[in-house]
Amino acid sequence: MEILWNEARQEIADGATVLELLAARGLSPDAVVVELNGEICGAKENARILAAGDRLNVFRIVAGG
Amino acid sequence: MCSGSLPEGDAVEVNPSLSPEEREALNRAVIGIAGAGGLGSNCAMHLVRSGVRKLVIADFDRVAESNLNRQFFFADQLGRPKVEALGENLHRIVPDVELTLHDLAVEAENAMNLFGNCDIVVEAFDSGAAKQMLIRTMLEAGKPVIAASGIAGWGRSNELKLRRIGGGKLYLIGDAESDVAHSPPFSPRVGIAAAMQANTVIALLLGVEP
Repeated sequence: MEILWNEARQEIADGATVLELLAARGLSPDAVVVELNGEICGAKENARILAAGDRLNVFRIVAGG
Repeated sequence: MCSGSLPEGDAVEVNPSLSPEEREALNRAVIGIAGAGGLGSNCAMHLVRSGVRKLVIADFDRVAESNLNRQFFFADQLGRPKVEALGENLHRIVPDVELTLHDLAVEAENAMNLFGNCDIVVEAFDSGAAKQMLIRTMLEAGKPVIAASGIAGWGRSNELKLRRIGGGKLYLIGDAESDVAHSPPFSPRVGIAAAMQANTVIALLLGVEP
């Protein structure tokens, strides 16, 4: 099925969770802010199974200030 | 050598063009600044120059030589607590600015005690873990947070973006890529990000497009 990952169409496996997509890209949930359909994800949302058409935005939080 | 003089009664009005309503909105607001390094010190400077008068600033660090490449401190302040030196510098811009300064480390346990009375909190830390801690803690408390991620190195000005996340609960500034692990932070990009953080705070206070 298809979702939007940072506004780009992306084919993902049925039953995939946010956590699994992050892990597949080598991203720790502690190193990103995730927005799913306009809402910021906590641990619970990160474990949720994604649905076709979900809009997922992933922002890396990197050091520097 | 010339020396300046303060206006009567220390009343410095840095933005005479503001309308009474705009002035009131900026004067009334309490803004938290978590971290007084490259982001926090410069963001605070921009806020004070813009007419914000109440800041809560927290940082545990001391001014070091390596900070002078980007942070709003001076060589004669080396070794001083950052919040104390920053307070001094902000008071030199607007003498009656109201500062609450905390010379300590912000942690998940004390963050809401420090910033609970703030209308908006600026995330101005260095480490990624501290940034995440503050973002999470403020979001859980329903407090708007203006954070920065990806500001290291030179150039690529157009990649420094403002992202509105979660319907405006979080604003994230930077390219969300450039980590100081790969390239040091320098004044221009850190300064741009700090100015964008201040610009976002002011826009939210005045109700204009961030």
